[in-house]
Amino acid sequence: MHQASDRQADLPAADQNKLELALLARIIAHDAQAMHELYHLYHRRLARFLMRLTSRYDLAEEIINDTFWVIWQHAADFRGASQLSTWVFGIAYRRALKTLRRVRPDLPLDGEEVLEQSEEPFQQSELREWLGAALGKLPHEQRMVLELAYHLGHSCEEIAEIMQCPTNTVKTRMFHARRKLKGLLTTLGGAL
Amino acid sequence: MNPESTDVEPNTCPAEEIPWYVNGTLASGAAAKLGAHLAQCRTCRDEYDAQVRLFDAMRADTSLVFAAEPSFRKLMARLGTQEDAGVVAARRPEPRAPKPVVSASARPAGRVLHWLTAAVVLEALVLGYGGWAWHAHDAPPRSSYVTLSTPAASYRGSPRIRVVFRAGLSVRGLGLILHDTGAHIIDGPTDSNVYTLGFTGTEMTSGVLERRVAALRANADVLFAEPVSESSEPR
Repeated sequence: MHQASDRQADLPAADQNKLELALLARIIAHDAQAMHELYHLYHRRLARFLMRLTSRYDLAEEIINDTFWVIWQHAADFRGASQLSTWVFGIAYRRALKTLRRVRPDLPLDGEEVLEQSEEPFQQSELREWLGAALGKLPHEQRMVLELAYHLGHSCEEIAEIMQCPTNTVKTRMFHARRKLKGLLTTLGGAL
Repeated sequence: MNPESTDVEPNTCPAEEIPWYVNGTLASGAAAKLGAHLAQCRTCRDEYDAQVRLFDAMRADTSLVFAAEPSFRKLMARLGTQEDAGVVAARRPEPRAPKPVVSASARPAGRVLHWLTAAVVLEALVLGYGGWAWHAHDAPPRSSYVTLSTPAASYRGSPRIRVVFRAGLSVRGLGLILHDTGAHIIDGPTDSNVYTLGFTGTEMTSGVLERRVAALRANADVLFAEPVSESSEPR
């Protein structure tokens, strides 16, 4: 069993959350330095998460800044019922969906169309590259469950809160993501 | 399902929980149960091994990251611009009313006009003095409006209070305490959960400081509040 998550400061999760809550308390008082620290704590994880979702640097940056704009304006609304990271990623996920609907209104949000095979041959031999190509072919909600669980280390309950869906839906998406990924990697030549 | 042991029933594999077993977030009871299951179910163990490889491959991919600082500067500019725009709009004076046009036939006689002029001047003086006195009494000494582009406050030389908050205090509750006392968190938490509060923009006499310490101590969410003396400051 692996250690949980991608905590940036190498702190236990509880200490990390405590540190972040102290920053949030300062942000409520509009402390710019606290905002700067929290931004840097989250930027790498959010950038990675949003790049998986949008595949565009400009959109990922826009969504990160939209997310922190919301945090700056509504920090006092955080009730502490969950980890702060769950709240932050929930905001980012919802902002991302809005942005994607704006820039790509034809985007299938949970459809199968994106699973069509590309005609371009895949020449990469590295598993990571095969994996990146295969992930890009999953419906975004399945891709996000994989990303939130495997890269960012969130629990099933946290992912349900971020994506605002029942935990059973998270498990179903994970099941389908795993199954499709296995098929795609076989097709593309990679293997897990 | 390919149990190596006959006591594993079909359809009882908790395979859907393997991803969270792999990432270490499965509750301890469920994790122990799944660990025991993996020891006797080859199919689930193969699935577990595959997911561990996927987990490692996904976490190893660090290529999709861009620099944070330029993005943060854009956010600062956006927040500063929006908030400053709000202040400017609030302070912008109302447009002046156009001067009334008075026709020659409507002009009063010269003496009446002089009296009216004197009355208007007198009224303006009274209103002007009244407005000044009212503002001088009620207006805050300075704006507390802060934007991201505002220089960071300096706490050098200002009194400080060390505080321990009740465990489980909500962020909102903490925000209210800070607001009520006019304090900012300038350090902490330490290993003992001690925060250091500082103050800016206030003439902090010993009496004011004592009142703030007393207010903090009277708050049920504050377990400890003590002013920091100069001698207790680390060198």
